[in-house]
Amino acid sequence: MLAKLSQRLSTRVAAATSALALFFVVCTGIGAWVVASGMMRDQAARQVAELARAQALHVSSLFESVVSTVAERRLAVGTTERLTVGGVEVEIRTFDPTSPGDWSKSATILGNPVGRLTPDLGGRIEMLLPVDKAPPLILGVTLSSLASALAGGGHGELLIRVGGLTAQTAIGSPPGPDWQVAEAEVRLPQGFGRGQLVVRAGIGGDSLDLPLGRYALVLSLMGAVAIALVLALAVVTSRRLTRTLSGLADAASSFDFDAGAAVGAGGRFHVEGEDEIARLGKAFAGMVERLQSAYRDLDRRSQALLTNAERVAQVGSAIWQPGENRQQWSDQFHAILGLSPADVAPSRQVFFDRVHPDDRPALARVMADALQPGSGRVVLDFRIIRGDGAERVAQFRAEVARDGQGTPIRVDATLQDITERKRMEDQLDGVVRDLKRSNEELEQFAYVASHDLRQPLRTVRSYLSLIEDSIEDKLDDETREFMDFIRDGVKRMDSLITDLLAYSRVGRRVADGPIDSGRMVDLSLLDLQAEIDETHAQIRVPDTLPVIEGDAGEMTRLFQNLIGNALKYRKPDQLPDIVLECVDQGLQWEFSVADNGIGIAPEHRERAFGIFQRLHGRHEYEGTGIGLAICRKIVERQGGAIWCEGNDQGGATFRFTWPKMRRLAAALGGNNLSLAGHGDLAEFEGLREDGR
Amino acid sequence: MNKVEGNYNILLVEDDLADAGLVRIALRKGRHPVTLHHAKDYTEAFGFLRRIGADFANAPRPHLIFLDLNLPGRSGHEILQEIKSDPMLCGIPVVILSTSEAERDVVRSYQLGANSFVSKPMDADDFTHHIHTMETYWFDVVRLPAGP
Repeated sequence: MLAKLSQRLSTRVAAATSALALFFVVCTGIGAWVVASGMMRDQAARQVAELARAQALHVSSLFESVVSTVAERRLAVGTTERLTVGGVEVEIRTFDPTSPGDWSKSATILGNPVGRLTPDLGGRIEMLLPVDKAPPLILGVTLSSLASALAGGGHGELLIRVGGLTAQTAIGSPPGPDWQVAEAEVRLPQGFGRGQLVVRAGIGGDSLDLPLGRYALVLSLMGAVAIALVLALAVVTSRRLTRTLSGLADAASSFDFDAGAAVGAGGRFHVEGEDEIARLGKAFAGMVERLQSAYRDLDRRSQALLTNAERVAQVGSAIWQPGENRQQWSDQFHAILGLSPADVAPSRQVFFDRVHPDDRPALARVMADALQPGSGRVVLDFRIIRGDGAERVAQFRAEVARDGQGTPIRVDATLQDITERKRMEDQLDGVVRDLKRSNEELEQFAYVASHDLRQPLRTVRSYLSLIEDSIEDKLDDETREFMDFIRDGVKRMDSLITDLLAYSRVGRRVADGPIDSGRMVDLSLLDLQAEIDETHAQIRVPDTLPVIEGDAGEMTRLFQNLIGNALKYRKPDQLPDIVLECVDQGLQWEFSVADNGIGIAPEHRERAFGIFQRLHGRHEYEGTGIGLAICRKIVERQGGAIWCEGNDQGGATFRFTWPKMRRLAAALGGNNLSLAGHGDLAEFEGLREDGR
Repeated sequence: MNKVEGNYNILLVEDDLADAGLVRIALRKGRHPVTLHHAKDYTEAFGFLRRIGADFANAPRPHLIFLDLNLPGRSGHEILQEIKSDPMLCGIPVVILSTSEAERDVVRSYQLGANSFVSKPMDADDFTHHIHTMETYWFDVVRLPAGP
């Protein structure tokens, strides 16, 4: 990654340097071109202006000579005279203004005299000069010197303005927009009126092209040399950069933590020189060394941490390639097998040697299974026999890593010593088994109680009534009373057995679920309807009562017992007034059943919840005294509490709490009751077997 | 109707002599002339039913069997199962007389082919009444196939 980056970087540096140099050269060339071109144009313009001025002076002097000659010769009309003045050929003609000939077409002689251009552009100018003295003159001047001065692309234009008239001639090609033009004024001699002569001299691009082309060539050559130089410099610089950066890149790509941190081919990364790149390289080399050191430190620490964690968790780990005997084990893996890393070379053979012989086939099977396609993770508990003969239980877990084709490439395994856990599990299993057996025994007891215990009572009762029938008329009052006692005793014994059975059945065969406590109250009131009618009791129940978690049968029984007690223990001279309430206490509900009955003395309130605990004589109130014990068992099974308080009416208020979330501990506590009396039940069972 | 010349024969399988006495007294007060044969366990019951041994060489085929469930040795359910799987005996109505009120006993009894299940009441008068109802039902109301 870093190598690629470095190579890319060096390539880019070289490219950027070259591009920059090229840009610089092009800019310089263009600048020089512009400057040179400007200078040359100025020079040309100056030369042309000079030429124009010189020509103007020349023409001016020429005219002076012509005029003086004409004045001297007094030429007659119709004469033509040629003369050369100052190297310039001049043709002078006189003519009669009244017969102007072909001139008349273009000129109005006298009054409005006009000059005419020769059409040949050869530098000849013909003018009708309005001279003060008659006859007028036609002056034809061939300005060959101007033409020659402007030969080779030059341009000349001569304008003579006299008395508002303009005569004009042109030499060379017509002027272009880029031509240089200079003007010079010519003063006309006396006698030719007031006039002005303007010479315009232009010079075309061609005359400028030669020096400009040379300049361009020189500049181009200079530019090319400069580009070559810059390119060479760029290549050298980029080579240097690239070499250094490539070195960095090679070092980065060959850097390998796993291989023990050698940089490059077996050595450190070295950079010569003092420039920025060299400093970067040195900083890089330093960073690599620090990285290696940090990595070694981290490696050591993580190894130590892993070893500690494995030791504390009693989990060892191992790695191996499928099909290879040699394996890699952690220290703890050795330790669990009772081996020391110094003593053995980890291998499948060594591993299997430590496994209990009976468990080896199963282990071999799951390891083979794990390598099957589609499989991947296996777990197996097996026994290990350590060197000292100690047997431990271990849990083996293995996971197979696969490549893209699904071929197994590595097995990661852990080994955990679960001897203690297994022992605890076995203990727990034992407790659960005991609990289950004791529950089954209790079930058996319930059956025995309902069937076998009541059987003799039934016999006594049946034969008692048979005896009564047969000796009815022979009984005295005392014997009859005795027989009533027997009958009552039998009946009470039957009730006690039935109630004990009911008590033992609390919490058994229940179906806990959400139940509407209001409906449970209604059901219990329905069961108590006869008593309610008989006592004319007033029972006040809230309109809404909560939905709670519990067993419908038990909840109904709970309300039935509490309200039934309130009806039973009423004051003889007062109609029962019973108030049922429920308060939301957040985590639990608190129900209360308050009556205006005889109440319970504070010292007896706790005792009232005992099994077969009676606070009153049987002749006063019926019952075996198990109702409240059943209530307590029902409430406590749900993790609630039940107690009794006095109230303003002198009666009793029974309160019980009902958790919204049933507590597991409380549930287990409920089952402990089932365990009690376990030995007695076994005796019962024995008796029953004998009875068969 | 199963009109019988002479006495009706009822086999009572019951280990408790007191209970057997109650049945005997109840039948004595009944409307039908009944001969009660009492077997205390499996061996005696099948000795009687299959006329095994000198004691039972002339044992009559019972018109009705009263069977207790809680017996020493092999239980009433085992006896019931054997009677109902014996083609010679399966036509004889079997009434279970038990002190058990457990639902599973009731269900099991009917599964094994019991013709009725009667819980023994606590009260002697009620017991007598139940026995008379059985007598009337099985001797006067129900029609049974002729014995083999």
